[in-house]
Amino acid sequence: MPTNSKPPPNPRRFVPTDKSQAKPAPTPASPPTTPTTPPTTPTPRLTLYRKTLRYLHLNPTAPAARHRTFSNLLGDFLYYFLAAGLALHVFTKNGYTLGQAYGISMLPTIASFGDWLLISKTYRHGRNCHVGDVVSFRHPVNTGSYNVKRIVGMSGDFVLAYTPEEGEGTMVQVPEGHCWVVGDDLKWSQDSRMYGPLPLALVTGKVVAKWSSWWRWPEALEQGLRDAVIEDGDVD
Amino acid sequence: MLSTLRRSRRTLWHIALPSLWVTASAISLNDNLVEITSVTGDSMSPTLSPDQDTTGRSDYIAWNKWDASGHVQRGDIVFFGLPNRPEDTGVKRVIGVEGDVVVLDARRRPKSGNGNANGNTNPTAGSHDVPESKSWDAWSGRAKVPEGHVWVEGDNWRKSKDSNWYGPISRSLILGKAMAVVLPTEKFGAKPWEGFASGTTVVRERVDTRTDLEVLEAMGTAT
Repeated sequence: MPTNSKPPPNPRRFVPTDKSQAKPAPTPASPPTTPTTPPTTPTPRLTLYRKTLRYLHLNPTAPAARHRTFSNLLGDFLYYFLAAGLALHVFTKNGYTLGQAYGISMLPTIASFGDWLLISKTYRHGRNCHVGDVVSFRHPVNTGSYNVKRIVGMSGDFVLAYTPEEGEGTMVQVPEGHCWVVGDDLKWSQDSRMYGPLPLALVTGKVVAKWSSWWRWPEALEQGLRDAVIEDGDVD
Repeated sequence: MLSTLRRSRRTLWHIALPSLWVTASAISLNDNLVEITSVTGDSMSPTLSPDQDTTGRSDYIAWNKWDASGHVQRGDIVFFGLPNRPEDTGVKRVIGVEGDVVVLDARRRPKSGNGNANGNTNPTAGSHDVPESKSWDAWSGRAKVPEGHVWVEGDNWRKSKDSNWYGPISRSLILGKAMAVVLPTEKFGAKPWEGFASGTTVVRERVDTRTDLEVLEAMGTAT
């Protein structure tokens, strides 16, 4: 049959109006012995399978004529827009997402403005997160805002509750299901030293790379801990 | 044989594409608008899942996920990520919001076997070595709910692991607010949690509406 030799036609494509495709009117003076058949479309044997496809409008035979009208074009646009939107939502929720960072709490790792961070959502809820990972999380106190800090202690670890060389040097054990996050710029960061251990359920993902300028490749973020350095940024 | 191959590829496309549409729409709807989950456990009996121990049937609830951690009120049933088990979720009622002082109910104190949030079973030891709970001590009698947090409790005071155990939870943990019961079908559309009088006393935050001048006058200024 001629229709089987072509690839499946896109049901949304526009075809020019062809009068011959229209349903032929029954001829009144048809001889009883020879039944009239439509001249162009062949009639395949309507098995149950084909009847189901036709009922679900998944008819693999030639599509109906679609004119290039505004409403049809709008319908196409909405169809592809919705499809892209749903696919993008599923991807950014469970795969990777890009977010813009601002603030001085993660200097020098992340710039104070203009850096785009690639966040891997496969690490959400703290799955496979270790000490030294830079994670993004929903803020425990400022509901609705997202923050990026580095994990310095996971559940069960003992961490220093306050800044080194300040306070009494109290050590704290991070409770079950929580982590201790600290910003890289200790002086200007609001983190677990202020609001306590962070529940891992608030962690949305791990920052794997940052993209600082559009003319440069994204660079992987340094994971893991290293000794603190005192960087004196004051101009003498 | 080639026509069979073409026909099966066409059929796959005609089935795969609608399936992708349905899956992606269901995931997006679930994440942003409405999710339906079952309520297991006894902590909300008899409000929710009252027959679970006898018949094994649990109630299914439709959660409103649109801006769930937005305006949360006392008495709402909320669905949140557990602070002690990040992969699991819990269902409890909001008793106090930020600024409230909750008078800890003596019946709901964690039993000595469970211990406090740090696992410390000594009832005289406070949790003062964990900075987050320095404002909440399981045996101090009162707990002030800090900014951005809520106090949740299960309706079944005999068997509920809630804020009396892990302290006030961050409002950002809340994923959904209860809309209505979906299953069993006899209770479809019902909201059995309304009109519940919790036994826990909550001292609501008193908003001081006096102006600075009035405060100074009340104190008695020098001149």
